[in-house]
Amino acid sequence: MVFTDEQGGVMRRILRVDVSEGKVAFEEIPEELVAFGGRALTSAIISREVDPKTDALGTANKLVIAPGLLAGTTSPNSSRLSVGAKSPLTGGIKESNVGGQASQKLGRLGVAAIILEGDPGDKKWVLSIDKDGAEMSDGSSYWGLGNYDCAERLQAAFGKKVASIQTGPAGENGMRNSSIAVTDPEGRPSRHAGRGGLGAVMAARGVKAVVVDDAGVDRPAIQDKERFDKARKTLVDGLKSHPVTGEGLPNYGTAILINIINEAGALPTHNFHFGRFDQAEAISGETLHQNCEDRGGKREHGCMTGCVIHCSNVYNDKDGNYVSSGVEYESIWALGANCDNGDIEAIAQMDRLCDDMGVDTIEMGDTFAVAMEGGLLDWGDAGRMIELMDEVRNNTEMGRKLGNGCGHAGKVFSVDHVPTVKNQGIPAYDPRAVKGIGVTYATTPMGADHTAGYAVATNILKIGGEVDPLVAADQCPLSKGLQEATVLFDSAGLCVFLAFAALDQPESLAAIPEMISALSGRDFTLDDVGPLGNTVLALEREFNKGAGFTDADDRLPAFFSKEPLPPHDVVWDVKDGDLDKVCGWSPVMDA
Amino acid sequence: MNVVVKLGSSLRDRVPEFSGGEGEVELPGLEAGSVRDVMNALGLKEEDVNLIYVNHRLVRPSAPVHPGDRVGLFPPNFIHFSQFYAKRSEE
Repeated sequence: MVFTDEQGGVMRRILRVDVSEGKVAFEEIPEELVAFGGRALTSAIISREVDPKTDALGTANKLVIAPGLLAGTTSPNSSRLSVGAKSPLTGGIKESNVGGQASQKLGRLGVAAIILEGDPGDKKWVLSIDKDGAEMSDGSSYWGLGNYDCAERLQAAFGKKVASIQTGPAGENGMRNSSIAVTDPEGRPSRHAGRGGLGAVMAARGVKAVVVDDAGVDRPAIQDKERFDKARKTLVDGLKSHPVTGEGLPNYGTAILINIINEAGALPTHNFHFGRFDQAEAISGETLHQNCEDRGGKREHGCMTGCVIHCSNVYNDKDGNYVSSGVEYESIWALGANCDNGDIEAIAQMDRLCDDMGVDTIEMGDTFAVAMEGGLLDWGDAGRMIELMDEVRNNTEMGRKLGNGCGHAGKVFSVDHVPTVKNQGIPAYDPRAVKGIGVTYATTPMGADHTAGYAVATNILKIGGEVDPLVAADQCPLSKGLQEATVLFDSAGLCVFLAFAALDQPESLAAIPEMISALSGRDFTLDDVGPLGNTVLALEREFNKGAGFTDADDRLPAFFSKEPLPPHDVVWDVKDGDLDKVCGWSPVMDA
Repeated sequence: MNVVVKLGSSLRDRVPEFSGGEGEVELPGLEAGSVRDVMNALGLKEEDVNLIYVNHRLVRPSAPVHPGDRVGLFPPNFIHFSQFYAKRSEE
């Protein structure tokens, strides 16, 4: 049921779902958490309600799904969704972030968070939420379906315009590399909370899907609409007046980075042995762009309604048939350059397979590269990669060797060159040649995660200043500041690409806390961004400490310090003591 | 002298004879020069280019280039979406 204030504006509530009995209850948000949304809320709830020592796939873990504070408002790009739990991949706290339609619909319905808890036994559920309330119904007919079939059947049952949040076959099989899918504006389950194996946590709660229908509800209550609209206009005007123009992200997509990072000598290739890939052009954003043009796919695809950037795409095969959507930089790199695979068609096909079974493309690509190093298959053998993905999908013994993450594959195939931090596979920037992102990989509580503090912006793209990517100096304060600021974006539910403009425009950045203030009626200023970041990062680290993490877990694998990366022939040389100042094992550094 | 040039995204429309955005550029009569000379030879202005790499190092337009160097030029793609947003807001 939708809760409204005196003016009829929608008020936020927590939806608690007991999966053992199928009971649902709306609760008021505890006063001390009222100012939290998105990641701040998922991490706060997990740290309060889940024992850090609990088995991540056991009955005591919970899954928390939270839209950001600005979800459902007229703010641009405000439909990012946070999914939190204890991660079965890292063993630490996890917030996995995803776009798609669900977040804004939850925002409109006033659902601040969904908590899935309890022991489902043999029960399989679908949770549906609409203006009249929430309901658990039998989901056994959906169990076992791939994400695409599942989304289609849910839309047939609940209506064409619903959004769904789903776990796939990999999650059902308890794979530690399993994602949670969210449907895009066309209803395709192509957006994924990929990282950290949360699909398995959702399935362990017996919930196949959460279906969200916002028909018949208005936008959330805004305490001071005039102030909100003014701040929103400031942000919009800031974007309009920005002096530097271009068309890279919408035209070429995130994959525009392939040629740039390759040119910078930082594109991890052949399981992080080289910084350049000789077939980069074949898998580049420029190639993708041309193929989309020629085959009737789509460039400038937005993953959510209200997006103003449209960095994504719809990729068709040579006959013009749909293959996958959101063939993104990270996926192309992971299943491409990192595996010496220059076949863009095979990459798009694998992207679809990953989305359908519900596994993270980054972790899958890292896993294949480690398996190639261990001799399981030849480098660049895309045909064999596709066959092995079917094994993951079918939960065979080989599939289980490959579906539990890169670190697991390293043990199974006796490889010591394993690119992980906190057992999570490292993404598409070699930390030796982009040292700022290396600091983020090492120190974020999430395990190796580029989005937790995207120092690539400043190291490579000259956004928010310039810091030489090859030199250790200044990388720790850069990463620390970005990690704190990222908490704001993750908590507001904003796309991190909005930060690209905000980092260069103080007035645009300031408009974000201003919108939050106007929405909530509580003053939140730029001065509060750092403390919010610190508060959330501290409680995430505290959870990880409780789970047994120490300063030794905030390190990159040793090979990065020993093996020089061509073409720059640089090693990882950020000092351990400096890393410890970022992540709080040592006293906080001077900013 | 000759250098190898890699062009990113929209800059390729300016030099359509490059295949895959890559080709050799001749700077007649020069033993050494700067990135600016390379850009002039291709008809590119400074505002056309945001990221410049010489042998994979990020540099400025005044940076020297030598025979056989690899020069990567990329347009201002990332801090870009003001025009796009303005266009959409008017729709």
